Amino acid sequence: MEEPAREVSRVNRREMAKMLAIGVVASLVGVAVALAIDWFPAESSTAADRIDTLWDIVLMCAVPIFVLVMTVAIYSVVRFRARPGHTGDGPPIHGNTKLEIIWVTIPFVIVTSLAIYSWIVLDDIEASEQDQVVVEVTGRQFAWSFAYPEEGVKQADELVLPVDRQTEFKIRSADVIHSFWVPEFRMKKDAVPGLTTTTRVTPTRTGSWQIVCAELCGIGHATMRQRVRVVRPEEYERWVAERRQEGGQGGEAGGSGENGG
Amino acid sequence: MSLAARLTAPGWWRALVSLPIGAVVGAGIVVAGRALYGWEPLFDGDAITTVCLITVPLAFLIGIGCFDYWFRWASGAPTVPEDHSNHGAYSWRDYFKVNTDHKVIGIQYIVTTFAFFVIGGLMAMLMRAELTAPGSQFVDPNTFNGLFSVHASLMIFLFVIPVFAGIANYVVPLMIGAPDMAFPRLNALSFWLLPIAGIMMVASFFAPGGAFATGWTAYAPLSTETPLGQTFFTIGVQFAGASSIATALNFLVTIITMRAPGMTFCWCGRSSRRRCSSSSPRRSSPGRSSSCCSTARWGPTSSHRPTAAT
Repeated sequence: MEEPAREVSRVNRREMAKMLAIGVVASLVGVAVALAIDWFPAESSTAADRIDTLWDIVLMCAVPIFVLVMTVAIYSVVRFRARPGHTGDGPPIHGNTKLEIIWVTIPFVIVTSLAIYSWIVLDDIEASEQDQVVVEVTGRQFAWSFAYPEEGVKQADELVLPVDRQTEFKIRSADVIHSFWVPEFRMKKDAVPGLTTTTRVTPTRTGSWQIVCAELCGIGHATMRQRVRVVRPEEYERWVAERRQEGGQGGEAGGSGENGG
Repeated sequence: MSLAARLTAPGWWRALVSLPIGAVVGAGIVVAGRALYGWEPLFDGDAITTVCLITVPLAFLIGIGCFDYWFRWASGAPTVPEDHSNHGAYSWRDYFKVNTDHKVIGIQYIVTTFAFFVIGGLMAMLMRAELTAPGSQFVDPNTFNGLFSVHASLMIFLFVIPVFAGIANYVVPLMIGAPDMAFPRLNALSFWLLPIAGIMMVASFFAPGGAFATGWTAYAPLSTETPLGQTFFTIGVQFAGASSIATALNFLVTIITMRAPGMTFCWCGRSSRRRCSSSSPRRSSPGRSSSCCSTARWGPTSSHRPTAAT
């Protein structure tokens, strides 16, 4: 058994207590500020609440660790800096194995717990529900196009979804890797050529938001944005019926344009 | 020095002369291969550029003297006894040569990486200037994509990764009490691979079609269906990676085999307090939190197993 560091004098203990006090207060302030900041746009899906909670919990773990470590570092640098004339090495301290084990174990436990919690959340928010709307999303340079196979709509340029009903997206790419992202839904999924990726979302508010391409796809990547409209079920049925009719009349580019713009 | 001496001695004159030789060799390989296969056209600019991106830097490295010792040894010529003439630095010119001193190489690394940091930073400034207002200010979308791609590649492959190699090159042999790194000539080669990679990435702006615009991640299929600039990135990271891998090998061997006698490979020394303090003057000032176990992040600490004489 190695000897514990018995060199911690009473003066050192006081310094450590001061450091700890400053660190704890700073952590609380940091956490308060972090939680008060409005990080995300309005929650508009069932997943949003759980994702935002997960985010807050991660912040509450990460911010205190960062603030505490920085407090110790800055305090030490300021308080124990070499005064003029001090050229020695300082007392030979063995170190503190117990402390080192503690400060490895605690973050390990925190990270593992966060991982398990995240896994559960991500699993839950995409669980399949009954009565889905199925939308086939195709990304190409530089626009998205949509199809509602079960509704008989072959091609639409705008995405219209019914509120409070789960939509399953089957996402494909016609050329390079894109990524289908609606920030308000808290969902993002890559569109990879050669694969069909799947994600599910249940919108909870009516409104109109942006679909953003989130994977660099070329010159027009920055402009690859479209609108998603979440509407009442009746309006959704009406819109689908219109598209189906247009498609049946041989209209190629379905959809009446960006009227949701 | 006479012209003949200048051109046969390792250095920048010889390197400059080697560049066109490398280009000719590269072009020759491509043309010969295409002729043998019967492919048209014979002089394919893209193919020639790609092969030259490999042969020209290699010619530069040979010219500047990175491979001199190994070529001599491989050719069976009697080895020149090491006179340490290219060791250490006595003037600023020594930093621009192939130098096997780990301290010189460390400084070369750090200065080079900071230079590329500045270049990458300038690109970031250009991007920010472009983004001050909506719409295009002074770059078109392809160039903007090229800007952030080269910016990121320079920052990652030519600053963050090699700067630690530079600091470690300077500091680690000193910390473990070794006279130098285990493979000083490989160390020098590792350094000289870096400016090549950096220049290649910056040079992609001059390729037909512009700089590589696929980000530093360069995902396929975007990066496989893109103009020639992408090749500059691809081969540039080969050189940067070769530099990094050789350095890693060097450090491993150095740290494992070249520690001062008695130094154990552990993070915090197991020296007894008393014995350690008898070998260094004890400072009684309170609150000193430094220790004789240095903050070594790359290797063992300088704790000594006391000998019987202590």
